[in-house]
Amino acid sequence: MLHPLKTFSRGGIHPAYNKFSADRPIEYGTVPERLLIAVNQHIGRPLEVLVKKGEEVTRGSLLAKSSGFVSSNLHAPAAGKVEKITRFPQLGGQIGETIIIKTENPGQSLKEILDSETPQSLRLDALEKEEILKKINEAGLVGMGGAGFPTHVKLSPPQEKPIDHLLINGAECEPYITCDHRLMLERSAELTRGMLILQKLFGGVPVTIGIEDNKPDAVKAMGEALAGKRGLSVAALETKYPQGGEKQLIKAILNREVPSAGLPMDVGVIVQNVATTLAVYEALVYNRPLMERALTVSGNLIKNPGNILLPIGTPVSFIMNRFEIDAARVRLLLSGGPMMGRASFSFESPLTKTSSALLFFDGDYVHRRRENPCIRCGSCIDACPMGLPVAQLTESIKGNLIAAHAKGDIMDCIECGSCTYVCPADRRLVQWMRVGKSIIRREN
Amino acid sequence: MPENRPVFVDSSPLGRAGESTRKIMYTVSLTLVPALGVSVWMFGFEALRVLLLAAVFCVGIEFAAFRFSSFKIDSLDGSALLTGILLAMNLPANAPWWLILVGSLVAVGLGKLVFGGLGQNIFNPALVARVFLLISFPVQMTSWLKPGAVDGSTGATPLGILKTEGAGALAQTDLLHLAVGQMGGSLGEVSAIALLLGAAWLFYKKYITWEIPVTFMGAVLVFSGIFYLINPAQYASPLFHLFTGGVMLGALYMATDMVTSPLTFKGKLIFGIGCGFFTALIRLFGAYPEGVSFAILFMNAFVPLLDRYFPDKKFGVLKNE
Repeated sequence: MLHPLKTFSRGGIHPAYNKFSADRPIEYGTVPERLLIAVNQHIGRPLEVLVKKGEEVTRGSLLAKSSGFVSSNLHAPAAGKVEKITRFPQLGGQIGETIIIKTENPGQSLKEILDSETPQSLRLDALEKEEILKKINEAGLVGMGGAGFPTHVKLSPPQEKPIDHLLINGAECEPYITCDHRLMLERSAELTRGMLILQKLFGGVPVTIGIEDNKPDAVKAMGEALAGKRGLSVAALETKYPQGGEKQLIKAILNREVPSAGLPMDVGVIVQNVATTLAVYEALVYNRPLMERALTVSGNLIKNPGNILLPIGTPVSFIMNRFEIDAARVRLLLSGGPMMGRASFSFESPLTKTSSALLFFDGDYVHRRRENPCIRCGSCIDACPMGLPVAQLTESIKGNLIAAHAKGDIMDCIECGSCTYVCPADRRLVQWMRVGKSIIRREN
Repeated sequence: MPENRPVFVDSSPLGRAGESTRKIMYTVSLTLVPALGVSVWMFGFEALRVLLLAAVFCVGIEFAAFRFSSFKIDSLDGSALLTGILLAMNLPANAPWWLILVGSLVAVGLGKLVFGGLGQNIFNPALVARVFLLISFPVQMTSWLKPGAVDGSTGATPLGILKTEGAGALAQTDLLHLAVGQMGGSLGEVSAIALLLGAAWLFYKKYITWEIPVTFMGAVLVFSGIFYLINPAQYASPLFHLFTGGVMLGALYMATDMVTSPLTFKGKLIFGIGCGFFTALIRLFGAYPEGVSFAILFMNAFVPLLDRYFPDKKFGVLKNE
């Protein structure tokens, strides 16, 4: 490539990427015996559960409905009977209300289910904006990169924030995770149509998909799929964590800085994840609610890491059986990547709309050392993509002496974890920043 | 629910880059080996004796503090060893053992532990000890072994000659000899080239950045150069100032000490310029022939202010208020 690759201007790290499953096509999973569907998988108002114990549901039945604008519907991924509604440990570590469904056809392949659903002809120019948003809202779409923010809300910026560019986040900068990579390779045509739908929503603004250059095949595949489509383009990005952070992605591709305490729409941009964009396509073309997702199963305990499409609500133990993981050896179960994912304590916790990966590690991966004194080496500050004086901020949080001028800085932290990753003194910097955020939130 | 559960529930990130305080401290210590080698070559066994005593005393004192205090100190984290080595590099090769012991007590005790241990001290511990010894024991601290002298004869440093006899007495000094280290001085002052060699590795490892060394040396060159241009008969050349005394050791190892130097870009620039300016000022007009340690200690005191008032640019903020 002749010109230098795009990237964000300051901070960032280069962790070991370990993308072992990059060459594994996405397999079709099967329907497990039981689906455990967490009621609240999104950011926003809690849902209103519509089903009762003993009730029969079919694929696509509305299990719980949104109770406001910032909320997101929940559907049954497979036919079955509601066994019970109970509180159950989730992948994030919290205990949440969960609808347990005993499925009608356990073992049925998702391929069989998906093949039976027929697309309807979709004429883009005939679509109204309201209709697109309504369908996205009804389908219960949320940001599938990990945040879980309702997609229809993100796609409805207020009048005074005009949007002039859409970005699709295909950076996938987290180590191990490869599901978006595979989606870009295997479903580039559908992804392109999803991008066209989003483009339509904002009156034909340019749409750019940003992909890190450690996925050259994805850059090529998307380039071919987008060729000849007006306003659609690919941006190859330098491989650097956190390239896929919303603010970093906007800086890299458009050289715009989202202002402190602001949102992407403040600089006229909306960012959507690759999987979410595909879900938009499916919601419009198949009328299909968000009921399954592709995820990466990897870690240092797996002989055959892979990518798999599974119904939401599939318990971890089902995936462990399929990938032949010995439960006795697992010492760390991560949902999401090692930089921002969550460690989980139960093998029965179910997948949610935001589970991009399940990673299984043995004891070798885990090293716990106590925090040592800060030697002011400045590594955390150099690594911080937000340019925050992390060392001083965390000291003030630890001493519970947060200065008024430091509050904005703390709230600007994107929790990417780069600081903790590089700290030679094993200080738990991003963890302290989270503590600081919660202190400030409580004060307000 | 199954019996076997994941044991570790931690918050992300779960991987680490693999750096550690120990690794940094021991790496910095190792990069001083070339300079120490030159010292031993110049001053023989005496240099080795000073080095070993300082290292053993400093680590021993921190270990003792760990035994008798309530707060946790990792006396083997390498920071005490590094302080000991740097203290030795600030001492003449014929320093008596008790001088080294007093210096170690001041460095580790007054310089570091009273502030709360590693990372909490404002002033560079080795320099606190050097200045303490220089003021308290001026005779012992300014009797310099002649390089390569087997008979133990002593003489002045080039800077000492400059101060007492003027620039004319230095007419025959060869800059190359100064750069290699063939001159009187403390252990770490002798070889500029060996220090640069060690520091090159630190640059490569990103343990030090260019800002402080470059501005420090640049400021020394500029300020001494101005006076050299005004009157070359009275003032020594800027290159003489760069290669003599503690400028190399100070700019590469002392002023860049992580704990006592600024964290921000502008802070580092101002810190480096300040160090160089005050070094030149003391050398040219002060009572002491050498001013590096005073200059660095003086600038150390400004570090919290520099960090506070010259922050780096934050993302999404056009201009820091």
